[in-house]
Amino acid sequence: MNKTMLVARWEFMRNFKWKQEIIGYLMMLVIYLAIFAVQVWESSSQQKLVTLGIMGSVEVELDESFTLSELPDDLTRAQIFKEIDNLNLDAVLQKTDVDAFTLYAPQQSKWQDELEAQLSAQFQSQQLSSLALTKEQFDELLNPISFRFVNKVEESEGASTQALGIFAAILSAIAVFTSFGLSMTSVTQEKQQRITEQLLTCISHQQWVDGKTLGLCFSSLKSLFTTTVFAFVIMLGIAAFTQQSNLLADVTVIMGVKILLFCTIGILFWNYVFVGFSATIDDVNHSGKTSVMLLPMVPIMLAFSVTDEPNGQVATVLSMFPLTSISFMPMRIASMDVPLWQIATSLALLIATLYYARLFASRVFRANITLFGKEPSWTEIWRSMLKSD
Amino acid sequence: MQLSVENISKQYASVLAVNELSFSVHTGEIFAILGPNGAGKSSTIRMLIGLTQADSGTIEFTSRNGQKHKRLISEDFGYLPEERGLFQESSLINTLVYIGQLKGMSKQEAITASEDWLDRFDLSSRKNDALKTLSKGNQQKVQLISAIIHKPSIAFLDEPFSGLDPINQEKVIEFLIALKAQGTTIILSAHQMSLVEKLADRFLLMDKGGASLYGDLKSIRTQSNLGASLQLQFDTPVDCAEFEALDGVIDVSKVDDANIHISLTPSASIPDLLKHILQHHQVQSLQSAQPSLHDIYLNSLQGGAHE
Repeated sequence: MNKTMLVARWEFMRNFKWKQEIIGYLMMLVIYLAIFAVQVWESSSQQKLVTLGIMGSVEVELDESFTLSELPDDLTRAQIFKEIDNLNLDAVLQKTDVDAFTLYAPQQSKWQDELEAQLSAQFQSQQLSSLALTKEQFDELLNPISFRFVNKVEESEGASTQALGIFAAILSAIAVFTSFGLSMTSVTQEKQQRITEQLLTCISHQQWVDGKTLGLCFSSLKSLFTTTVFAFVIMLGIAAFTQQSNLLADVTVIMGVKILLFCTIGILFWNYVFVGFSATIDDVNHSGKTSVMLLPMVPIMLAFSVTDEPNGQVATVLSMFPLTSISFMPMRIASMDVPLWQIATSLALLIATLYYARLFASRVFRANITLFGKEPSWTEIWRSMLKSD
Repeated sequence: MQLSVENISKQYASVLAVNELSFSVHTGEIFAILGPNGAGKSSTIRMLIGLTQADSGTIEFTSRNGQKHKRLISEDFGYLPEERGLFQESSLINTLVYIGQLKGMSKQEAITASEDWLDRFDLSSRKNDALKTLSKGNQQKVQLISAIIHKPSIAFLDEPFSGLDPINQEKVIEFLIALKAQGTTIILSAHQMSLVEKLADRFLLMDKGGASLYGDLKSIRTQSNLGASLQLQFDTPVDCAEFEALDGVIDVSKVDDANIHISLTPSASIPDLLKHILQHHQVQSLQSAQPSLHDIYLNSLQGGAHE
């Protein structure tokens, strides 16, 4: 294993704790089981037979989940609740107008929505029957309108793709946040612990920067993987019990590869920036420079604001600009079919920027990693960035 | 590994850290660089290992097969920095194996060497503990192991005794002797003169970035203008003035009426002096002593050395 990969492996393993990983996945399983249990509980409680008292001779047709028993129609409110207790009823239904009912129940329950829906449907059906419509006309009226959204570029799936776009933007945010935190602690901690000189007798500055950046990139990708698995498990659970489609089921392999490619290169780019810049910081708690490291959050926040218009001008331009493409392009790829030329241009620009990020980060790192005490000024950082070896 | 340094200088902003310094280190010897804080010892070592570049002058290394190099490669040397530390959260064994691998060892070689050195320093039982759980002295031992785990041909040890209690200092001495025995050339800097005097073959005493004294102990004694000293006990009280007039005597001090301490010049002839004294006095006891490295060091920094 070459020295760069040794450093990368060390960096990754330093942040990778088997125990924590197993606990994380076990917690995921517990959450999944909890969702499962709640859904099973709720659906079983919905299947319970409801005993309903009907005041007076009201004609209602409800399905088999309701058992009806007739009550006098002149009961007062207090008498009604007394009857509920005495006859062990779930509720009492009273017709107060041609199209109005009142339900007396000790507490609110899910079956009450179902009762309302059945009564509404029954009333609607009675009204329509009185109009003497043909069966076709009747069915036509009962059917809701169909609404299908077609994107300007390619056909899209609407709301679920926007949610996917938001999820992709969340992933890129996680990647940048993880990289930011890890590089800060990794570089400045080593500097504070005075490991730097010892390591520089073993490896070159370039090997150190490359190894560190790669290791941090692996850690960020691991976080993305964990988040995706977590989201998939949650959505699978929700989809199984709500009869809604699983959002992540819409992700194709090609889409996944494209998003992964942008995330990986973007993470590498930001990690080079973070690693280089961290070398200028002596103490994270007392440095005025740490706030600057939050700048990459700006494009991420911007990406969230345009998820509803992935094909708009702002999203298109910013998805090709290298400093923002890590946030915008994955969001667009998840939301729509982005033209290939846009992906290629964005990727080419991002790779070129990565090359310069590596070059400048290495120079800044080299000039500052062994300096202790006074932090360099912005002018000194700028000079070290431009100074070739 | 032999080292030859010719007129190297290094300036940081307005501070001249090292000024036209020249010296050489022979293969397999322990070479001590001494001097007060700010004398330029660490700056010199950092230039030797290539962490910083000399502004002027030349540094040349000659390997055992006679090949000359301007720079050392990572696998050839070990370095214990003055400002040091290791990964506090990682276990001893993981840290040492990692550094061993970075120094070109295979994983298995690094594991074997780490376990061997940890055993020698009585740290085997702690090998899976995080470094931060160790005492400062034990952390220092691990740091020392990390510097030489790969059996370098030359080791640069900046203040290897700092922070150690006397027992651990002795352990480090044993460690350095073992290292020398395996053929490693050792260049060290230290403030513990009595320890260095026991260990080192030759010395470079630095002051204000330059060489104040340089050579083996005998040679630097001569350069330092410090001679031996005599402690004499007589039968009867004596007068100091009588001895001050003798050839080679620098100073005479009275311990009590019949007991005196005489400081001599390096060129003073002790037999001639004793012959003269015994002609006039009955001497009960006599003790002679050469100046220690500590004496030479202090004398040199107080301006007594001959350039």
